[in-house]
Amino acid sequence: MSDENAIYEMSINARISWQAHSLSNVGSNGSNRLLPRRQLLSDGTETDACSGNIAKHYHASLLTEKVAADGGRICPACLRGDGRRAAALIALPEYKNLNLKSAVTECVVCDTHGFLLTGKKGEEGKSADRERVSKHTTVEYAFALALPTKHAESDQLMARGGNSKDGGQMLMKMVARSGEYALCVRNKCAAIGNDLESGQQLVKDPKERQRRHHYVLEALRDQFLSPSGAMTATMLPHLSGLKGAIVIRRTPGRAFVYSPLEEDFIEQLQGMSVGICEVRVFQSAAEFSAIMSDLATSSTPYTVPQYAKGKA
Amino acid sequence: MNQQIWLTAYYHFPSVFSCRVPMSSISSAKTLPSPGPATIRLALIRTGIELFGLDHIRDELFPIIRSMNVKIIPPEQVAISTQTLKHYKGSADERVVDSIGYREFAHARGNLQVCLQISTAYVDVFKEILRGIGYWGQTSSLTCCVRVEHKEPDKSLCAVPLWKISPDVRTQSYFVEVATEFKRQDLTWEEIAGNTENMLSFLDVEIFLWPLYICERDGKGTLLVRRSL
Repeated sequence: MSDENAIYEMSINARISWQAHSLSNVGSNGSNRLLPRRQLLSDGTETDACSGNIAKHYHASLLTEKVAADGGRICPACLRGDGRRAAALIALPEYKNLNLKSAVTECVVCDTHGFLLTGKKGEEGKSADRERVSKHTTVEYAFALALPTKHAESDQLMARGGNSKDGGQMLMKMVARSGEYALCVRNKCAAIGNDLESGQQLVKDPKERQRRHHYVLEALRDQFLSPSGAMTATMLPHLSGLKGAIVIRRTPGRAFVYSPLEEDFIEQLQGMSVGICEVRVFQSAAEFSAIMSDLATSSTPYTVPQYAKGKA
Repeated sequence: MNQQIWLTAYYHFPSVFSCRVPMSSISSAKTLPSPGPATIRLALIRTGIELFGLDHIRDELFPIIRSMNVKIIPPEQVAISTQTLKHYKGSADERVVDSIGYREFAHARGNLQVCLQISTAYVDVFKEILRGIGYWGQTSSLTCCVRVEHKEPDKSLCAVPLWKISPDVRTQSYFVEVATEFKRQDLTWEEIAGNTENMLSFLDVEIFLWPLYICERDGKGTLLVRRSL
């Protein structure tokens, strides 16, 4: 595979339509109403929102499944879905000397989603100081924001089992939300197996980096095509539309992102990208799937030349 | 002899962002309507390392970044809402339990302008770094540099430390909040990058006034509109 296929960074800028979902909520009002998430927009309108946290969590879970099924490297914390990732291992005796290289080498999910083990001053005569160990995430999610003119919701009265002394059914109001959402995701492919902040190559085997890159892109594709989040056991969303643009940057720098709340977001991305990035437009879920599958199989993560020469 | 000139970079926010107010609790974090000066200097350092390598930034550009003039012109309109998020919380016995936290998120219309005063010898390298900044503060606060030009900032639209404002300027109903700035212009690399006991000891907290007029403040959130000071 030639370097022409290497990607430094890519972004997905999409309008995605979900019908009758409750993917991201702010909690419940006691036990009788589930409250949807709201965000005030700069024009003074309030719109529906889905947090990036839940989308990132879902990507990590898809990635874990793929890596585990393939017999890839994964740490015990990620395998059980612990969001602290490598930082959750420090209490275990075999991970007492955890460092950046070992954490990243031994786990694809820690490498992709990042972690933070905070520094700690040791107690005099009892324990040594602990140095901060961290890696930034390679996949970054914005909030999904509903287009205010293309969003609706309806209250649903649901029955659920109660723990009251009478043991009867309890009623709960849940909101089924439907609409077209603006969503941006950025994936820094060059950071797979590398720490770009300290200039270190942590995973030296190009085949291993390629495998990790492939898993990340496949999980990204799958999460758009089969949405998940909160309440999906009984309110799995209908995916009814997906359009937008994938921006691919092959040299160091940023893959552009532009708010899909704006009608002309694809034209803006195309205009900004001339001579800098490649823009692949998709008008349906099938076209998106084809582009992502192609990237997963034919692209490679960018290798920083200094790292490859061992000068970093 | 190299002249000092102003570079202005314009940043689009593709979604919501959250630049935490210093000293606000992680479990109940307020947001600023734009990044503060220290956040901008740190973003320049971080992006510079990614694009040009650690040695070049530490030895060549850090002395410039720590002492350069930085001006910030916030977006034309900013709306702030509070979101409830799931958090992990440590307990005294080192167990980690699920908890909830609150964090403000902002949505902006119009571009954020970041203005740097630098020597003409460094224009090209700083243009590249400014274009390379992809987020402010936390990684989910995505941003995208749409252009960089040689332009002096309109001072009446810049966020300023409160003590610098003349007493005859009417500041009522403008957005006032604390933000961080580098403590000194001669900070050492070790002070900002070292794994020191107090990681934020190189920062000063100052009260800033943003040229953003508070139009609405209710249960839905706060709506701010840019207006000259």
